[in-house]
Amino acid sequence: MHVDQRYLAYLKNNDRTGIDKIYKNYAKKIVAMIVYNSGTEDDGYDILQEALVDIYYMAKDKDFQLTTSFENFLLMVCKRKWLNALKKKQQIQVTKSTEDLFHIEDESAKEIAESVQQVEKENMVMQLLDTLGERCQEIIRRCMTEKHQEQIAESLGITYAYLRKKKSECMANLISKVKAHPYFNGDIDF
Amino acid sequence: MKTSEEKIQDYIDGLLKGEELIAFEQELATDPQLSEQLKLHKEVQSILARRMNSSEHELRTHLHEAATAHRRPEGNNKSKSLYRILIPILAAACIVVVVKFFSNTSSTLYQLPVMESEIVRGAGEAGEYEDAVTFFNSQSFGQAREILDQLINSDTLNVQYKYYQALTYYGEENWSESIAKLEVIADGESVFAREATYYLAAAYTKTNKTGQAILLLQQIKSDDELGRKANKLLKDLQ
Repeated sequence: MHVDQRYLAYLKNNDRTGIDKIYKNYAKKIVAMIVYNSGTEDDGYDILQEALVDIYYMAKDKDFQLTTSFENFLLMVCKRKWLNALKKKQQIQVTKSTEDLFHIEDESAKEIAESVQQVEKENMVMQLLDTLGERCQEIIRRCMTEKHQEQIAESLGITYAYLRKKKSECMANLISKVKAHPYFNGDIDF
Repeated sequence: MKTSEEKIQDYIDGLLKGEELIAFEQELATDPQLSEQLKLHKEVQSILARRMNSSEHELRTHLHEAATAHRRPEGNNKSKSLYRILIPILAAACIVVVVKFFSNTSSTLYQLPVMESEIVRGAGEAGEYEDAVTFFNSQSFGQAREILDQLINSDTLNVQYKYYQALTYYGEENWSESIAKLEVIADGESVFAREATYYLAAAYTKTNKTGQAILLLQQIKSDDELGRKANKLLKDLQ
């Protein structure tokens, strides 16, 4: 196990002291990297926070094992996120120099990239969920977090059969949005 | 009749039973599109379940707190706050110094003061006095003096009329008249005594009575704006 694996554990366990260490040791470098690549200090801190949330999910759901230093790993995740942010903002065109910035060096980096890609795909699903109507969002959220659907139906003032019907409709709506999304159907590489 | 989406959802949730379940599984085996659709549903539902049962919200709270602490450490915060206070003060101080420097140059040391309109009270005299103020400040000293003379005749004890009257001669560079008038006021105990002393000294310098000017300037204490002007003029003369 890599000695820096502890940083992933800090995030996985939501360890405030450990999180402070991450910021103390790495925030300055990450922010400097973003600022150097057309970003602001606020962009830098935003990207760092989102990257750490992604790493939390990688550690929690995939039991991700570090094969490089946490600094390299974090830098790579942040670089990918910043490139995506730039593409989204369409502030700059992706030039050779920016592609160089995100150059993947070896096999371990490719593994990291795949893990990050999966987390980004999940982020996209959650973002699409937010685009559904409030009623649909509530039904899906409650059905995912509560065991007894009869009780959910009762608290929503609808029948269980209607809840089932609405849930399938809402999920179908979400699935259609996911299928149409360029990130999901492979039109855009992560 | 259930829709395809309802069947998929029921199948994932384990609610398809008996013949309905068998029929759906047969359909899955023969319909690759349905199979793909089911796979995607499962994947999305799995993502939703993981994300909605995570501690992301608590994590974000801690990340935000850590970022805030990192961006604004207590020490830096204090020093930044201190800078925020000091910078405007220093800037203001610089402006004051510059203003003082220019206002106390040799040429400005001899300039007449602005005649303030609000000095005089009394509705009856206000109109005439205001006319005098207008004339004085526009350097029409003769016209200002005519009005001031009338005001002095109506109130012979009013020193401020006499003070500005004396300065009208100063403005016309009638040094002998201005000196004669200002000497009386400078020797008195009115609130205009110090100002009169200063302009009397200035008038003396214009008539080459530098020694007398220096003696007068030395009497003016340097604890206010007039005192600083006097000190500056004194240094120039010495």
